[in-house]
Amino acid sequence: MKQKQTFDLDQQLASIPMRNARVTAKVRASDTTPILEVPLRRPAWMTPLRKLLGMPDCRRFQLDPAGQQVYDRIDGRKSFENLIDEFAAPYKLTFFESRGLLMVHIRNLMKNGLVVVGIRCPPESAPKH
Amino acid sequence: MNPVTQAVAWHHARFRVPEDWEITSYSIERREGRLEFSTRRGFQGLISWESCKGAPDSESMMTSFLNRTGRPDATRRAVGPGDLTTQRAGRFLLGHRKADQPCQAIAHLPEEQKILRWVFAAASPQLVRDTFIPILESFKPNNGPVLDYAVYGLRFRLPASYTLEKMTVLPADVTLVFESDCKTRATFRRWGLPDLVLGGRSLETFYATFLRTQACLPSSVQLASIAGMDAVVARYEQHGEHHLDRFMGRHWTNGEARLWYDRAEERLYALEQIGPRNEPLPAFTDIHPHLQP
Repeated sequence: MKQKQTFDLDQQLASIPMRNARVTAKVRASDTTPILEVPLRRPAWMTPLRKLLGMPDCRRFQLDPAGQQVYDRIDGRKSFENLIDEFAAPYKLTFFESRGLLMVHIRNLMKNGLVVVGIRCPPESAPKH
Repeated sequence: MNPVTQAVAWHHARFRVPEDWEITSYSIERREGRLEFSTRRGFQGLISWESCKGAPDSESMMTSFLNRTGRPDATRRAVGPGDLTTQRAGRFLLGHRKADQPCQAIAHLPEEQKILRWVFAAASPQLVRDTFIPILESFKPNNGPVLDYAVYGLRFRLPASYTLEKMTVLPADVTLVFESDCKTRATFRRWGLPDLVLGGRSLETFYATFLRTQACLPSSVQLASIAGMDAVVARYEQHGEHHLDRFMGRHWTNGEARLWYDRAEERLYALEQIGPRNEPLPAFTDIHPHLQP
């Protein structure tokens, strides 16, 4: 059975959350947070079926204000530790409070396909193409 | 050097730790348990308490701990009391062996028949001198008719008849529920991210709604000021909710609740108290002596 890879605290803190580049944001005047659309990937043979049944070609999400703030701060350059510090400062949160909140929100963003998290690997352990 | 400035008060002990040490694991039992501290660099130390009628053989306890947690020596020789370097720090006997091994300190509290044991992550001579010894020297017993509590940013005093019943620690959302021998209850809350918690509502609207979600029926919610901070004071009732409890259970009408907004800390605090009829509730100023007007 394939074992789930685990990361130590240092690796977690050095990891870099990145936004899904194919997500589009639509702002409605009535809403405080935008609607995020994640395109769905379906096999080509499903296209006629999708059109026939009127199946959606994307999933839409509207984040709560805290989730939106986390999403807005993710730029693909800041590490998880940078984000923790950046989120903690304006709200005067402690390191573990900020980390706990970010972990919950980033987990939800990942589950919904809005964000992926990259882990820095030493060159010798990087996958070879 | 990281000065020990953060006050912590929990079962049996009051002490100070460095500002960046945070509690990452806790026990609510007074009989035995522990508090664990970490920083972003990882585990820093833990304090545990357990029953012990007589004075313990501290050095044997320390050596058995070192042998149990691994023998990092190349020889894998068991550690004996002679291998330890010990020194007194306040009421604690501090023992350490090598810089890369855990450092321990043990104190016996004969008045409570408990032993307190600190285990620190690793013991470089500088850490021992600058951090561990000041922590141990700051220790004061937490016993008597009124007990101090200072954890997760909450700080208060309660009569010893109150027992911690429930504790919920979520990121920026802490709740501690105490109940006394006379069934009076005291619930302490602390929220971070006040703008998001309030969601644009006023303190009165937010707290009245919140109390209703906690099965409380607020009869009045009024604006007030606590130590110069915006606050609300509420009176509420609480009825039984489940099965026969609805007909035969409590029907308490003396609920007092306070919510205040500490803008300097960016936190909302709340204290709710309720109990059976004719049971007096501790005064707010006795519970929070640091919040005197």
